[in-house]
Amino acid sequence: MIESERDARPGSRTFVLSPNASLSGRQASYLMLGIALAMAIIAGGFALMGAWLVLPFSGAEWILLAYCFKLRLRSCRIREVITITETSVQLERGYGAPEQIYRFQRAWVALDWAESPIKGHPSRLSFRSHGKEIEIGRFLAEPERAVLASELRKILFDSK
Amino acid sequence: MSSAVATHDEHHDHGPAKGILRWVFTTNHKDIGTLYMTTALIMFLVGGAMALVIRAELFAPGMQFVDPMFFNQMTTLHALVMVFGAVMPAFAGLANWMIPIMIGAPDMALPRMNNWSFWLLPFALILLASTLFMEGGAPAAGWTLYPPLVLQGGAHLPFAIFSVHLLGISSIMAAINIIVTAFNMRAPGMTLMKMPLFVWTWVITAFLLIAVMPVFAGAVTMLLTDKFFGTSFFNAAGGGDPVLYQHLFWFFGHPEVYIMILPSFGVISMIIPTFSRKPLFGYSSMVYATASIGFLSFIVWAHHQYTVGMPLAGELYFTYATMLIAVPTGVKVFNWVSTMWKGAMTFETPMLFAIAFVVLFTMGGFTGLMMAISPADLQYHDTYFIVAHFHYVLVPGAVFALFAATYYWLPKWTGYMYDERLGKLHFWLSTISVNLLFFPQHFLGLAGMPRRIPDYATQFAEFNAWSSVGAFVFGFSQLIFVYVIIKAIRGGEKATDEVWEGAHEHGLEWTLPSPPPYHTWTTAPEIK
Repeated sequence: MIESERDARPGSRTFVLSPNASLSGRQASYLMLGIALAMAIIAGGFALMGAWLVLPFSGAEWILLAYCFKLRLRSCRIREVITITETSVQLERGYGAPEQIYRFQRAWVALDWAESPIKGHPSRLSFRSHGKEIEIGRFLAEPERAVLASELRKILFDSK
Repeated sequence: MSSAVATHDEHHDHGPAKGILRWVFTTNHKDIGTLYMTTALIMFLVGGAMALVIRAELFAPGMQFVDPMFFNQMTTLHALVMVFGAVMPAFAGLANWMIPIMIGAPDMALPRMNNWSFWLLPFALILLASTLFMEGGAPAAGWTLYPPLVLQGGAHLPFAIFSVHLLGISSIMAAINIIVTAFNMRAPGMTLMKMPLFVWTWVITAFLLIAVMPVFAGAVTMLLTDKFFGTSFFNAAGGGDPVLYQHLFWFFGHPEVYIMILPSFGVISMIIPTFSRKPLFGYSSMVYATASIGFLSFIVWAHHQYTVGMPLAGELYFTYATMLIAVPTGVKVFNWVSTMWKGAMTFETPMLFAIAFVVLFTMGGFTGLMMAISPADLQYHDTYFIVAHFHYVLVPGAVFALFAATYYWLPKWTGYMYDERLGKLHFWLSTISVNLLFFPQHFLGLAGMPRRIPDYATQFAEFNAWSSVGAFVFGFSQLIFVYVIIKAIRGGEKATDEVWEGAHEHGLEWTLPSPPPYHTWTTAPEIK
């Protein structure tokens, strides 16, 4: 997903890139609560009948399921923020907070978009400057990456 | 300025690693799917060989080949191997191969756990088979492992139970992976109500697994503690209750039947529209019907226990609740028939197996309705009528759906068309022989022949002889199936991407090359 914010200054813009996730954190919480409730009814019922050993197995299984959801949701929290100003292009990447920051001089930055020779494989969009190359929007869907490439090209080069 | 330079080859197509270690360490969903299905096929042949031992002994009255103890070990292991070693892993294999492709995801959500959940399986199955060579032999108390009988066995008990635990852990991890993948990794635009029915049926199956496996794990652990730690969960002498085990077992065991049949419904719902050249009739009603069947499967377990004694109100409740399952099942059957109605149907092997599934599974369902009636069940209970019923559900039901799925997707998996002539030969031999095998067992049961016995009265001889002939023809017909698969893997006519005419309208998998690249959907497709 691409969210874009136009800055008041001419030629400036901010893009926030995030991967597709078909389940939000809140939906995952409701799902886990529902599963916990169902499992508690089943395991609790049997515990009341004397088969209390079902309880630890149910609990362990629920914890594993919740952990797996957490792992998966974390990988969906990655964000890339591209900030373009009159003089610089900055890319921040991280889970929740910026963990890597790359900064280029706007005048020297080039945008590369290479299509994959293999059908069904992603294209590659990257900033390049002074022999260094940073890939952007790797987690985007192909049409989204095409839109991003075109938008960046417009701002970086057409407005010069 | 901090900087990291991404190298260009990160995006090159990393094909599979070379050698045996590719299969040991693989986290690729297609490789793991192949591993699951290969294991399932081997175990299908092993479990089938056990069935042939049983049918050879039952060919004629009297004791011919094996002693009664070994006969009972064969019936127990045949069931456990077929359920946990063949049918469930085969569907897990299909899920691994097809779910990410069908929802536009690059892989399963937790690939390393996926590898682990597969590799537990062969070790657990070897452990189970090893009990045959232990003092006192393998478990011989039936797949239900009822106490107190199972507690009187030899050294096998802890090994068999540990094996069941490992199989359960494997299933749970596979189920968790499927739930997380289907909920969190669908391509943009693929809402829940746009998911292919195969994915829907597997999601519901995965929830069933999550709900029932801890109950089974708890039950067999209590068997262990009763045997080795002096507890009395199921020991009446110590204040326990053997019927409690039955409740626990069937609370797991009844949904387990649906765990084996719901993915079949999904497979059939993919195949019939393709070969009818029409969209599936009543997609949303199919989803709701599947969910209803899943829910109802939890509240009918005690229909397996009518004969242990139950209050009249309980018998009435379980009778009506069980019969209620016929309603959503009927919805599904009528929707499949409506999909075929006025369709431009062709009868390639997958479609033949799908039609046989609809007809024969419905027969199995009808005999299930007969047994739902508690007063009538007293006559059927523990007779060959039960054996005939559940085999009609599980062989021309689940196994035929697996055959249909294999023929349907084999060209996509291998890139080569299978031998249609041999496929049809496999179909006709299997369909005729499976009916010869199981249909006479209804009459045996109605005439009063009990199950799990190696010898019987001469009045049952003729039907048993027919049944055994059917079993051997069915068993050896499966060698054709194995040959067809090997032949397709080795080469042949090249399969197109779409494989079946108009198939691209019925799923994302048909938009990919045949075979699909090692890494699929590294970028998500957009679903309109």
